[in-house]
Amino acid sequence: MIPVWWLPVLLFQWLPLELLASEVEITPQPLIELGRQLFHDTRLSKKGDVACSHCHNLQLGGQILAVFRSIRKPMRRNAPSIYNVVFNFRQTWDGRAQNLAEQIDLTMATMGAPWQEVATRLQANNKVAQQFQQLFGTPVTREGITQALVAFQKTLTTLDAPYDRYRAGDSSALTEEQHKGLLLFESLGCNSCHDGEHLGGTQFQSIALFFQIGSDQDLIQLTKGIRSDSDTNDQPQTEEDHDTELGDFAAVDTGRYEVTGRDEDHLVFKVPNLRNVALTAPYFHNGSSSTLDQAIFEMAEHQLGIILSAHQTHLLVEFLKSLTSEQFNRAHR
Amino acid sequence: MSQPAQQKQKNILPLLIAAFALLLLFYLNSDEVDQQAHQQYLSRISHLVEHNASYSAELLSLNQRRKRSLSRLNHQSKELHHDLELLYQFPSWLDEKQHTELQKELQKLKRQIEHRVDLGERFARARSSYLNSLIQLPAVTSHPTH
Repeated sequence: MIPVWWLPVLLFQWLPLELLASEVEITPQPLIELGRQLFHDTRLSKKGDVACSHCHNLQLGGQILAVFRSIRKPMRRNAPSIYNVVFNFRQTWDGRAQNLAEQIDLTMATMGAPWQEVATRLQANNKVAQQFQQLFGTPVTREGITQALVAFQKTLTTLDAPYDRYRAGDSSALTEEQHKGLLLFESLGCNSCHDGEHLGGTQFQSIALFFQIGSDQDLIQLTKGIRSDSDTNDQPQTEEDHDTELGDFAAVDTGRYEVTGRDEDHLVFKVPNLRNVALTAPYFHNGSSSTLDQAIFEMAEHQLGIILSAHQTHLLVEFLKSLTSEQFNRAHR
Repeated sequence: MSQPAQQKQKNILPLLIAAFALLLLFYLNSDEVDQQAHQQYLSRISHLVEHNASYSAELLSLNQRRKRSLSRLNHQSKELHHDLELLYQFPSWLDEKQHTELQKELQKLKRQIEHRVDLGERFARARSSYLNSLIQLPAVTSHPTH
């Protein structure tokens, strides 16, 4: 006769042990390495002249806009920093990409080369073909490219800023001005939208909460696509080029409305996370603000209805500098 | 052996053969079901249910202002989508018809989750404006000329 206390033991012996552990995802280093290579590979673009790294410069906080202009590829929206994107609740300014894989799909469409063509080009390279064979047991595929790029992007995190040390309990990590800036950031309510440990990337928000008080002309300036009239020389060279762009960049950018079609989403964008923000000028979805001071001043005016003093702006700038990763701080020293 | 007993035995024999064949069929089919994969699929469903409950709990905490950061809410929403993706990896012994049926159910579930997450995101947006109003209103009312 089996004693009663043995019953749970008997029941558990039927439960596969694997179920007791959650399905932990471990990314192999070779996959990350392949992703790193692809990130810098110009064969991913239509003309073979642009790589992901051209617009998301890894040395400059993951973002640079000027390159767009130098290669005469005007884009409607500002290229966001590639660092810490894994923490974003959605990807792209209007959040149309649910995750990094979808974001890569959209970016590839913007770069203009069909997936099949990219796969064929990469397959022609023995080294890359071999890497795919070893990792996936297949020739180069769209899924493999995406998986590798996602794996690489997930490694692009910077959680070593002075602000992180401060949060971890090191009160000396922030300067006095940075600390005052942090208090101001919280007391003004900036952190209502730039929320969480990455100060943003957690929600959508209207970019014109208090804009009714401004002029129509200002609103147009704020919401239009990235280009200004003076940039018309950089129009796409051919009709085909134009088709690969995201649309009419001179028109008003309605943000999330383009995805949902709901009136309430008019001029709504993803709130970006502020990590390394001091290095990622220009600012906003359309790059309309070229300096951090200007961006902060405009944000306070448009989102909070507050006109900041020069001193307040300075304190906020100082605080935001504390979000710069030590790896970039070291590089700039 | 008497005549009726022999007759009875003749009647039972086909029944026994049929029962044996049925058992054999069950036995062979039971081999096709991978218990481990079945358990794994069930555990994925439980994870989804768990994350759904955690998502609700997060929303309630935020609504009652017991929590401030949306990070956890977003984490749960990512988990929900991840769980859903895993549910599309059907156990191998299911046939095409069953795949189609499951796929239909999962599509419905996907729409519901997307709707739920969308409502959560709209709540988060409205909440930020509300929190800022709480900060800004006292400042504005204390300076009526502002």
